[in-house]
Amino acid sequence: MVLSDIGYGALWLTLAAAVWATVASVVGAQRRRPELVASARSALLVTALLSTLSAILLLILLFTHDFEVRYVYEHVSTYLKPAYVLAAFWAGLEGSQLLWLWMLTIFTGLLVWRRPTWDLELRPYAMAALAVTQAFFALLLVQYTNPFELLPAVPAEGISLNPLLQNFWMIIHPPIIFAAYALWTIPAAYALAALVTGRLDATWLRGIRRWTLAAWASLGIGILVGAWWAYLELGWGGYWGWDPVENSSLIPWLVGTAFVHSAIIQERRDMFRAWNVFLATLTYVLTVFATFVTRSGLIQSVHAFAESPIGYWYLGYMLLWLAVTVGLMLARRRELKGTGELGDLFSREFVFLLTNLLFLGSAAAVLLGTLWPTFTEAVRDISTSLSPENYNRFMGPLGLLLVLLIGICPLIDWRQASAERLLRSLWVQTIVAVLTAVILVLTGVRELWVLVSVAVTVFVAVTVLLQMAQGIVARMRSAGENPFVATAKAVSLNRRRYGGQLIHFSILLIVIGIIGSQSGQTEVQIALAQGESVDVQGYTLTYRDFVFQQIEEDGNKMRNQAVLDVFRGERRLATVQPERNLHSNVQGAVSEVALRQTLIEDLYIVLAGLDADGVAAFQVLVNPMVTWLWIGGLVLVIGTLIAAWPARRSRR
Amino acid sequence: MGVAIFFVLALIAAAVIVYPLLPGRRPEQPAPAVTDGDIDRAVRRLRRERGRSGLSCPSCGMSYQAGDRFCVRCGNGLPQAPSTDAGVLCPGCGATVRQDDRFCAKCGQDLVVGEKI
Repeated sequence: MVLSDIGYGALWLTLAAAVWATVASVVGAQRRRPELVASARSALLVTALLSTLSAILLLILLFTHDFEVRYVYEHVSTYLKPAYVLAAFWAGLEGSQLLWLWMLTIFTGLLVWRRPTWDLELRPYAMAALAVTQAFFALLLVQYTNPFELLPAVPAEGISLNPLLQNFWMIIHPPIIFAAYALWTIPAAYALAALVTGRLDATWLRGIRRWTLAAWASLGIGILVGAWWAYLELGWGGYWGWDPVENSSLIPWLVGTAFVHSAIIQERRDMFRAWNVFLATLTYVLTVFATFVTRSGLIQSVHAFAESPIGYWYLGYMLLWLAVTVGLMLARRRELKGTGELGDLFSREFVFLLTNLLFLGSAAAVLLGTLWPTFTEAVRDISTSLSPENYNRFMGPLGLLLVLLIGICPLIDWRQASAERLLRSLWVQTIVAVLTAVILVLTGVRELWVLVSVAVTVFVAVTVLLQMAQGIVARMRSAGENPFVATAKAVSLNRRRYGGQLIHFSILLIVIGIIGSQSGQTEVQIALAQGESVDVQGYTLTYRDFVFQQIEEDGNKMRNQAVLDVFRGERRLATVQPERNLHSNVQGAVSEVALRQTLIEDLYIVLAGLDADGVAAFQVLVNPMVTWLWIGGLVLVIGTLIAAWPARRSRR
Repeated sequence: MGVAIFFVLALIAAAVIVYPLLPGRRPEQPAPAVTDGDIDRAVRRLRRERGRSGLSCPSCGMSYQAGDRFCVRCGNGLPQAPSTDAGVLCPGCGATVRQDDRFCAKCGQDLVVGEKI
């Protein structure tokens, strides 16, 4: 009772401090009153502390099972495992709103904590934009989504967490995604500040480069972790279904990727000023749009999160931010003209532009596909959604083209490139790519799209590796360093370059995973009695034992489990235990998939049904190359860390 | 109890926020750093000025400023502007000097002495 009151009160104080920070920073900048800006900075540090207090209080309430609080009652129970209590924090609308505000205030606090001199002019306005956003979230929390709301009576037991969300990856997926959403506020806020002050050169981009990279990487990692969760928990054998909620995170990632690249062009050549301001804003607005999609119920989704009218608040906020930015862009159209000019059609700048357009084109296509059911419903009263095959048909070729550009772009010179020089530097990777395709044909792969896309990906991978090797080999030759020292020194002296190349390489690993898993999924559906076996793709599965309707969690869970031995020839590889359980708080059975992963393929076993006499229905899938998606994700993190790590020499 | 804690929190927050506004605490306005924007603007101003000189390279047409010896675009040698004080050359190095110069700007030759001789 006391704790929830304090938590709610802290949210009101956060709102008040955020409003003050907005007013004080704008007035301080306009009237040249640095003490007002300093006060706004203090207010932003205060909001970080206050929202942290709220978050800690909600956690305490959840862990102590204080069921008088409605959010606690709806999301935890006494029999819920403690680790999943953490997941319950962000399982519902109210908690995830608080998480978002919390992340935003923490990142804003970190941003204003240090006081560098590069953004004296920009900073007050960026602070104001961030503070307005904080105030917006705090207002929604105290008015519509109060996580500290009390019930009239204290229930004896809670409803507990949706079993689909009882998964390790659901503990970390929402924080990463909301961290990404919160981080993307920073580039958008600085874009706005650059527009207000007219400081539209590359200063703002350079100053927040690391924040941008962190935002970009966490969005990508968040998407991958979400895919991994879907693969483990939803039990349909795939990791990506072009579901509206998945799409709504992918769209800002695509636009954000375009932004990360065109920002480089502005830094180097002072081009694309307007473009960058717009892309930073669009990425951020699209993250808000993602929330609108999941909360408004505008688009039907298998994720089926809580629907709430606050979706329309998001829509309004999003349109307002967009309108202000576009209005300022029109007012500043003279300053938005950079000094660089797009020179030759065959130049690095032009290829970058092409890459940008491809990213935006893909984003637009996915957006259109996501909104398609809404359009058709409005026009013809029938809601027809796009099938995954439809998406694959256009996203496949677009993705492949982008992959090809990863390989070619770094080889093309700035300003004016020479075709001859380009072609001369490509023969090694061409030979390796062709050889790979030939080997694939010899091993029995006949699908043309697989051959082409693998060849392209290998071509690009060799290009990226050759480029990374170039600098290292040069060091080994000239300084006589051993390979490890040469690599360490080359990377530490040029973190941006090697980090970027490693990120490109990680994308290629992910692409290989996608191509592999799309190329040849084997699916077998079979019913077995105890002791029977089935052969799938060289594996022999022997159904050994079962558990039928075992009562657990104080009668809230009925466990159904099959035990299978997996053999390859005579050798036993593993024992796996797929489950299909009933829970008191959800309708229908929830599958716990049994998964055996290798670098080549995943064996994915779903228990589809189980009788009292032990006859079990199985769905057995063999998914090739899926593991490379997760390996790619890991490499992506490493690449980003290298690229974003502060260099010792040029601390800005 | 809850209300009391709320007010304590509010008081602390307000104190932290108001602290920078106290009279003795006003931070000095730090000197604005030279930003890329300043450099951009300076470069553009110089470009404009060069464009205003009305001179253009005979080889490629690029504009240049009086006094430039080579074209910034094509590297062609540029015709030297005729001096307003034509005919006065430094006896030491042959550079053009003005009538009222006392020393040569290029080699330091004492021009007054030279006149006397």
